[in-house]
Amino acid sequence: MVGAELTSAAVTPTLGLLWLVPALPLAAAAVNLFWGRRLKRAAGWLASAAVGAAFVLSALVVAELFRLPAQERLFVQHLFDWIRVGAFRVGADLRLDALSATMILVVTGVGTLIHVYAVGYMEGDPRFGRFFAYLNLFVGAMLLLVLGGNYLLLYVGWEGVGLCSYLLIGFWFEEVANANAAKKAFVTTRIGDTAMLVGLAFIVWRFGTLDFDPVLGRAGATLTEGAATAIALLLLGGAIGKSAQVPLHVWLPDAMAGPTPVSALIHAATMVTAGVYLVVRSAPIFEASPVALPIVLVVGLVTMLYAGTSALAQTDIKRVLAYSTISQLGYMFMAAGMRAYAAAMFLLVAHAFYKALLFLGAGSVIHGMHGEQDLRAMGGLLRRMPVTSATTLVGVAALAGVPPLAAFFAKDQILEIANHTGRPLVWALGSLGALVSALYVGRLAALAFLGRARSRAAERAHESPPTMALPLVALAVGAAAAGALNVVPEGRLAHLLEPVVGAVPHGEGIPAWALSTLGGLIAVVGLAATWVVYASGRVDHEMLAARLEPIPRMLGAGWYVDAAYERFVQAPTLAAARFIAGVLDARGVDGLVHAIAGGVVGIARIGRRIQTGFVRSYALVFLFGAIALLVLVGARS
Amino acid sequence: MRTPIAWFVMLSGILFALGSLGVLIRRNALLIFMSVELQLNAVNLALVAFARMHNALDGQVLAFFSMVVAAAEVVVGLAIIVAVYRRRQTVDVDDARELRW
Amino acid sequence: MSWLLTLLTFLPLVGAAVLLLGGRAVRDEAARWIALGTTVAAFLVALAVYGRFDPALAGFQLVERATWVPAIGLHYVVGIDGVSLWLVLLTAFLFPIAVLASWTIGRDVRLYMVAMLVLETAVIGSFLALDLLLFFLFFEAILVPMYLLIGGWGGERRVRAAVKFFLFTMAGSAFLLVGILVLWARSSGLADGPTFDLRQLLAVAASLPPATARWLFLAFLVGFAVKVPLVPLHTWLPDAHTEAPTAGSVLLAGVLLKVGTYGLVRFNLPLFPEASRAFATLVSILAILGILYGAVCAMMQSDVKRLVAYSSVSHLGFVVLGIFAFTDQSLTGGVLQMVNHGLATGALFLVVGMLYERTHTRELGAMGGLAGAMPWLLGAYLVAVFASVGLPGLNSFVGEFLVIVGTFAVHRWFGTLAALGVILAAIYLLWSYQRVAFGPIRDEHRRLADLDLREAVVLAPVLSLLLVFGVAPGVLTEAIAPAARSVVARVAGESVDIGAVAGATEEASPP
Repeated sequence: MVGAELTSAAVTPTLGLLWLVPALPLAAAAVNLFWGRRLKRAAGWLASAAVGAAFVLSALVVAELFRLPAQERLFVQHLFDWIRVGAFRVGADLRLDALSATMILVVTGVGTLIHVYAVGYMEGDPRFGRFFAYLNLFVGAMLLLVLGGNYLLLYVGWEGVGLCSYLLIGFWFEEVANANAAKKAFVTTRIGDTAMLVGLAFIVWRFGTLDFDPVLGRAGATLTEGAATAIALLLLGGAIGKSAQVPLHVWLPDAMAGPTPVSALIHAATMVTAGVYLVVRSAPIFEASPVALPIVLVVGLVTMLYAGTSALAQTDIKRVLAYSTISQLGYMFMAAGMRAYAAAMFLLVAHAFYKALLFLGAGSVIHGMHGEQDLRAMGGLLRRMPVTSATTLVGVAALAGVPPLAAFFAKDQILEIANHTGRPLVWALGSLGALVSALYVGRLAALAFLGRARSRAAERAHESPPTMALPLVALAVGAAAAGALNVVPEGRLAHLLEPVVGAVPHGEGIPAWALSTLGGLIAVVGLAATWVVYASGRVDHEMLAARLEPIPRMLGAGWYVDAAYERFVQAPTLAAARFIAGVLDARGVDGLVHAIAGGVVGIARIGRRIQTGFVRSYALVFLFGAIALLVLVGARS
Repeated sequence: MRTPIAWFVMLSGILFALGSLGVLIRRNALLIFMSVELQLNAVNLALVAFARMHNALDGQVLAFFSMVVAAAEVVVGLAIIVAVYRRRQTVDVDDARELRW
Repeated sequence: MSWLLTLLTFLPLVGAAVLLLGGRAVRDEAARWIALGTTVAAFLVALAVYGRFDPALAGFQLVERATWVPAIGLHYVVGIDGVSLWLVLLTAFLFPIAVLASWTIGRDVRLYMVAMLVLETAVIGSFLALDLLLFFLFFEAILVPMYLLIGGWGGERRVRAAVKFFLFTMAGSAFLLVGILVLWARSSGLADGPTFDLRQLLAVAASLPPATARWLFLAFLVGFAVKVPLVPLHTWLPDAHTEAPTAGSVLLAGVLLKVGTYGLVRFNLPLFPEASRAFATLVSILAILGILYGAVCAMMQSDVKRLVAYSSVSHLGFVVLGIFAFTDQSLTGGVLQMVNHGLATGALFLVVGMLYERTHTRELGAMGGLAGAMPWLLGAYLVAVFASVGLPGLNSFVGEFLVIVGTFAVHRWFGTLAALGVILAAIYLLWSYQRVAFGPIRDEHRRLADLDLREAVVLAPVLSLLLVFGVAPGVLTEAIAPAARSVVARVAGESVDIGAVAGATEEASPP
């Protein structure tokens, strides 16, 4: 159930600046693209300043918005008519409401920190300026995505972030693997995007417009159940691709080929949450269908468990985090599938903090160990990289759900809703997922920071420069404090979002305090167990893994989904394409053309034998022809 | 006394047959050319004879036409033959087969 | 100023005459500058036409009419409407760029430029002619200079490709000519005898028996389908593109293919509305087949020019699909996409040509890692690639989206299948880009020079337009949409006088 219709606010000088929020990073991107090389290190600071300014501006605009009464917290800024064909119009409209306000604050806030971090991380890279151009372009596109006032503008941002993702995953393109990962990411998400595009066509067909207000406001009344299901599932296709949900999740682990700040910003904190945003934004359409939300729930649940278990057996520190991201996004989908949109958004915000923190921490570790990403080669970094380790451990605890850090409240809320709305199975599996996440993140922490150093690189690891350390501290504070969004009664995120996405469902079940206690226990027990296995020295975890074979290998390969796609999708497609291009087109269609041409030549070859080249034989034929004609004419008359 | 038309036609036929034979069996382009002229003149003879028989001028006019065209043709034809001879030192038509295919 | 369109059409021909009559006295360098000056002047005239064009009106504007051969009803009639406006502007825009891109042609420069200029006259004439026989003359006149460009300045197997191109198109034109002549014969009942004037023939065609109209529709369709090219009549295109010089490819993809789709919009739909509806499903299926088939074939090419050629087959499928869905959005999108494809694919061929001049290869396998050596050139390539992929914000997206939306409203499955082409486009284009730009670089490519000034001047306008038309497609659609609207209405059977002359006076001046 979605909140009552909002009335749009009038322009005020502050609200009128909304367009600058995406425009600033885009302008900085253009500057860095053309003059990045000349700016040298200043390129990074320019980019950070642009995103920082966008954050300040966002904060001002959002503060102005929240000064209005709850039912008037909507501001639509019409910039210009983008497409106009007859009655069909698409405007370049920016839409600020509580939902997009939340998103722009997260994007610019976390984005600023990651930009600052990247100035240190990318130091000395020959394409330093270009990196920040892409990163700014990404922020601009992401802001367009969440601020877009209609589905098409959202789609513009949607594809724009996909482009930046492509460029940044393949940023170090000299490595073939990176380039492959970039292409895989773009193509895989494009499959989902295309479903979404068809969904947009469906919306135009049914509504004649793509603006959020008319479409979402009339969705329940206009759409039949079948049409609503079709649109919802097509949009979900896009969301699944972008948010790396099963079955289109395969690109995200590979996307870790990009520089670590990219992984933190794009593949953890912001872009991949766009799918969740889309589902929440389109909630009225999903609700008009009897099956769409249950499907969202199942997708989320399956993804959460699948990715969580896969994360357990990864050896690359970034791949652990990648699978973890997929799993957490699954959690958000679960929440959305239960109509707990505000809870999904809450987890989204909290996740942005602690996952960005974890990635930047991992990046700092990789930086400190000169590019080493294998967990098995780390160990004992707590002593050598104290700031990085301490902040990252905050992130670990936050992700695991240790009270009172961010994820504790968010997951707790989701599990409570599952329990209280009569979904005991979802609740049980969700709790299992929470345990799994505590296990994999605990394993990561224990292997990387505790125990003894297991390689030369780990022994010689050094702390990162302040531009990298400071954002870590800021994010750690955020990850620790994000839970507050759920504590302050009037400032609660759920309360603020209510006019846009409706109230969080309530019901009866196991008392909330019991559920919370259980949730906290799961986190603590999970972390403790990993400490025993991986860091206490009492268990030989390598022996343990060897005895569990082939399960670790299967989990490490992501349940062989990638291999199966390669075998059963990619290979047959390529074979078919090769047949069509090499045989059907070259020999079939073109062969037919050549056969016709050959036939004409063949006939001509026979025919030309008449042409002997002897003038006198021509004359003879001529003579006989003339006589034959004469005879013919004579016979007729 | 008028010579019967049949004589003219017969003479014309003989001349034409001679010309045709010349075109068919000669290999020298110049002689072929002369034979063609013989054929043309055979036809001219027939034209004039028939014109006289019918007391009409049409045939005579046609004969003039044919002569004018023949003259033009001779100019072009001889020029070609001379050009071919300059190039190849021969006017044997059986040797000139390059344009066959 | 009713001679503006004539000036636009024949200005390049004057340039060609100057070059031709100048004989050997015209040095190579002078020939280049004369050609560039002429094409730029033609572009300025085209801009003047744009300035005088009123987008709010649906009919033909700036019409000029004179009787040429009264005995057979051949008239010199030219006019411009929303459909042709942007195609003419695109043509006039691409020719100076193509000339500038041909600066490195070193052999028989004068004749090369003559061919280019004659080609420009023929193409612009095709877009402007409103008399069927006049159109046919221009349409056929395109062949000769293009044949010379491919056969004279092309790659290793150029002659073969040129002949294939020529024969294919001629075979199609034969059907077209028969169709035109039948239509002409049917018009003998008119007061002033049989005519080729399109606007008079519209009335004649409306009274044809349905069976005749369908045969004529098919004759016109074959003529234009070869040019588009519609699968399975497409196999001349990869060969022609592969062998053609860079500018030849740019113009072939940029404007020549559009003559085919333009013919469908200008002649097939208005002349035979009932037959268009009857064959719409068939043509749409061919179009979708083209989209998917072209994309799959493109995926497997190892020669980068062949790849772009097949991508044209795929993209032109979108255009045809949009034309034959008969909705405002789809037809507008289709025409828009003609312009967009011209720019995007033109840019691709320009970049590929520049790559070829440096690496001397078109094989994807023989390149790699070039983004490190030539960041600007490969950056330009990337923009062109993403424009072709249909990235929102760049130009092709709007056209494709309108086609999909418009088609989806009438045929759910056609719309959906067309959207699949979007995925395939991403696969083959990114894959090819990756093989050119990414990965380890070969030693002999390490020291290749990046864009020089001339090349930057060639690329900058095209790339800017890719972005401008992506952000502000309204510039184009404001003129296209009303014209598309009246074509759609006519196909739907409404009595729209599509030949209406808007805002211009006719001048009948018998010679």
